Amino acid sequence: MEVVIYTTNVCPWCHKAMEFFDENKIKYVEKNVQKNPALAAELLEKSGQMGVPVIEIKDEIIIGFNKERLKKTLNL
Amino acid sequence: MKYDVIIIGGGAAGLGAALYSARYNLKTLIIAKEFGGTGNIAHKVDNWIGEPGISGMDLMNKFTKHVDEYAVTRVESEVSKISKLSDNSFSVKADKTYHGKSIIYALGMKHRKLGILGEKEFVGRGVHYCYTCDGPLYPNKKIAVIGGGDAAGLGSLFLSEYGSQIYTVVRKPTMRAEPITQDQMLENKKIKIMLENEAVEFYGDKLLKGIKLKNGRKLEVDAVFIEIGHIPLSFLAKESNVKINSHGFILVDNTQKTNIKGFCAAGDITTRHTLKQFITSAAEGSVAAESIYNFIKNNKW
Repeated sequence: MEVVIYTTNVCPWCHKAMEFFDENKIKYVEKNVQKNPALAAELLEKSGQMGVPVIEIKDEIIIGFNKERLKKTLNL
Repeated sequence: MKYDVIIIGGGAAGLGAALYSARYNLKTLIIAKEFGGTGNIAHKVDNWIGEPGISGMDLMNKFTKHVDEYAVTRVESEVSKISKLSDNSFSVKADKTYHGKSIIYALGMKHRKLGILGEKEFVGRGVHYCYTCDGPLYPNKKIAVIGGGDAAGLGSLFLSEYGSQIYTVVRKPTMRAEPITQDQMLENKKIKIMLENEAVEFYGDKLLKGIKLKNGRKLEVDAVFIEIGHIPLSFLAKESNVKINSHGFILVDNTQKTNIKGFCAAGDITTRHTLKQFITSAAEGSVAAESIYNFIKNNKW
């Protein structure tokens, strides 16, 4: 299951989410919008907003770090 | 299994209480939805003595690791109910029901919203509540910060690293942020402090375009960060008949005891200190642990 996370450098909830993926051995692709501002349009198009973290799992878009929802979506 | 103490909340107060409870050899359980709590959000903490410039998340991770060196049971879950039982002990409902002889309530506070027109409509599309998360998404843009306290001051400084112009919109005639923060803001050429200005509406189309002010003027900005303080999360304590004041803060004595036997409160949520900081929260947590230790040893409240 491909997991993509949109982040910025010091976003605390982005780091919490990535720690959560690491702890649960979930592979993910980080798309850092701060390092690559061109990703901002993609972030807005996919989630309808500009806040991070945004997590994409298959076709599901999760705005913010919602551990319970992640566990459910990832069958943990 | 009955714990000596159940600590509710995993911020500086809760983790401080857990450390001291463990060192008093109390059988300790700490339950938190997210360890670190709102302390995680601070991008830079310059007033925790001994750790200048540490990030809130790194500091809270250190707190948690320190607690993990002791025989403390740590559960990540959201508490939905606290009940006092007929034998004067407590049951706490979270991912399951736990039993304890006493409670330290340290749930802290949540972000206060402005409640003005357009706020909900533009959340995430120009209206934001976490400047460390979303500030860098507005490079070379005009950004407003609403609020006059420490978070608004520190937020303005943080955002000045990214935005072209920062407007700090303060309702009152003065700011409440620490004087050193205010000095740094005044020295910062990108920051304009707008005292006695009140936001009444956010406007835009797909994305935010600006703020309407009470004086009729418009402030054109691409993003606004709301930092107008916090609301105490005292509702679970209130349901257990713990006395709170008219602003929702829990009334405690100088040993963190509430009006309910075996029930202490600590941290931002109490009336003890107006200075709401890591250091005051951790201190209140440690004092609460001592009070619970004395209560369990002597059965006196």
